[in-house]
Amino acid sequence: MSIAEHYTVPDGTLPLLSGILLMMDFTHRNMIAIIADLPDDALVWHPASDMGPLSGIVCHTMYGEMFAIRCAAGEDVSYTDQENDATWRIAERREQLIARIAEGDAVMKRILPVMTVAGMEERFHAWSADSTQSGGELIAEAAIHTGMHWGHMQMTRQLWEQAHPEFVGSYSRW
Amino acid sequence: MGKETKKGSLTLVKDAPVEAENTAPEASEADAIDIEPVAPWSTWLDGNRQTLKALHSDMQFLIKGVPSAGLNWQPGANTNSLWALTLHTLGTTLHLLATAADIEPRWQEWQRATELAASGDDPGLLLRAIRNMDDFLDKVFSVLEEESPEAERDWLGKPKPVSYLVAHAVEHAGRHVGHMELTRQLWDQRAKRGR
Repeated sequence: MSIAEHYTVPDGTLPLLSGILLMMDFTHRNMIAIIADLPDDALVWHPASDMGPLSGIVCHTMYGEMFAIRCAAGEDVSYTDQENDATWRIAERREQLIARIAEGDAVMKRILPVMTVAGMEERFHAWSADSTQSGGELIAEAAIHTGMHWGHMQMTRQLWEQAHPEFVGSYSRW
Repeated sequence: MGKETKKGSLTLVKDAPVEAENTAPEASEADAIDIEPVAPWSTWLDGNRQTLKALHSDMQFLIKGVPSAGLNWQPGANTNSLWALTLHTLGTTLHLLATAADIEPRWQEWQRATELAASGDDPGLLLRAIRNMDDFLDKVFSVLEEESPEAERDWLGKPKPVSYLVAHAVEHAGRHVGHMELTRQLWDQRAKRGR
């Protein structure tokens, strides 16, 4: 499972969300590119103590993103801190991680084009029973959270490459 | 995200009910249909402005207390220092949002390579640059309020919608704050080892 080659924002999408869709489409593709040519041992490599490996970053990022976006759409979905913590310890192979990113990408592209202003204003108990967030807040939080961890992925790969100078990869940084 | 998130909360959509300006009894139905709703765009912009300010606070947190050597330290070849990351992040935000708002400076004046090659000694300069960018945010977002999210601007030679440029500014800043977090973490670990 991966992301289809070309993406066009569907007609009728709220203009505010079309910007997020275009940006996240690129983000997800690049996240896949970061891991697509790496050996499996690179995916569980820690740059230093208290720093997550690529597998953990992807699992954590996509767990949070899919939950937040599905929650924003009012879907029946659950989040627990325990599950969230456990994502950092998941050691998956490249194909599994790519499938996770692609699944999250598909969720986003299914939900955001049909979001309405009323849906973005509706409030949900997302992260705890004590607080609520609007659908719009959840979408924005998902986007910025994924973007930040995308940055972690870029640097983690870069540090792994430096620790393995014999590796020749195809991911191009900018 | 969830409990580990320290980004602060977004206010993409405000709690206060939207004033129903278009639903005055005397307004005809046709009039109401013709009026473009302003509130969603405005509240979305406000959420982005606040997110950028929260990211700027994170940047200040990551810079404060780091000695000059740490601000200019690079964790490896072809990586960037906290100093360069800060200036590059601010410079990109400036040019993305100014381009979106169709004001100066537009992307053609962007000195990306200069930002990433920058170094310096006084952390006060970086903190001041961040504060200046916060002031710029207040100005540019008031201009963006008047823009249409679908309007296209020339960004790096390609047409991009205003809504994309704003979203990209936030995402880009978030991504580089991610780089800054790891860089700071690696510097702290190195400093602890006394290297």
